[in-house]
Amino acid sequence: MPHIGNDIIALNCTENIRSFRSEKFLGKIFCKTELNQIYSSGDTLLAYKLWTCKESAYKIAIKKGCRTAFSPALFKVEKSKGADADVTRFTVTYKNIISFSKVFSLSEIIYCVASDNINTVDNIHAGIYQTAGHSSEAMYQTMINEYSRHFSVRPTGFSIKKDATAGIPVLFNLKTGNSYEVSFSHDLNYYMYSFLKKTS
Amino acid sequence: MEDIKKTIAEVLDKYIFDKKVWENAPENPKVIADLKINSARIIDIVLDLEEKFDIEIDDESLEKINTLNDIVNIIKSKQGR
Repeated sequence: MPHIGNDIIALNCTENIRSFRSEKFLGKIFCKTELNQIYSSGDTLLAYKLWTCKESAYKIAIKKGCRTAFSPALFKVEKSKGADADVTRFTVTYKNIISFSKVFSLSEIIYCVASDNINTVDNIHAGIYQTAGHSSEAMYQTMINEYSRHFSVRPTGFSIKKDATAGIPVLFNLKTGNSYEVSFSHDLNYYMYSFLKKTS
Repeated sequence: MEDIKKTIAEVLDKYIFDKKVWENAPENPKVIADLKINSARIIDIVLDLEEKFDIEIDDESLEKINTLNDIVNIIKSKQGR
């Protein structure tokens, strides 16, 4: 079973703007090679893009049994060859875990979906919403509803529990106890969920 | 609360959006799950702590930061205590 991860970052968040302008901050989260790419690239959003790749890869690492906290500089991100319109692809290596990412840029956000299986990364559904004051529970319910709609199952059969290390939510079936591959991310005014699409 | 823990709590508090999380937090709160601090702000906290305690928190130490007590232990070990 492939694992997936995602991340969303709000470009209009004051704290993010301040942090990502700080050389100290960037020096703490990126290795020298990544910093060189960031400073030499004409892409002013590259630092945000690399960060979302690292966060997404960490969620995959947790699902694969990693029990350590997130140390972003240990996740090495490389741009993959080839280009799609409006999408940048990256490969992330952390210890013996490799994940494959697709990063999308919109006017107010950057978001990433990733998988540890290169064939799966194009089969991830992503839903993006504005938080509009919603509680975590309400945001999770949106994910459950969308998941249920996609798979034509009843939403009442599902619930969310969080892993003990990083609080990463897991969707599970209340009756069978089986868990399903989803990912959830939240930053300022936006949240996103992802799950593997139905395969025919 | 010992001084070092109090100083760390003050730094953490700068990055906590909803101060009410302290009311329900256990004695040794998890930084993400209990205090609702996200990964980017944890880096800001680490930078503040490095400056405050005149230490360097390396990437491997960062992997050990889950709770308030983890931060206390890392700072003490970096100070050679």
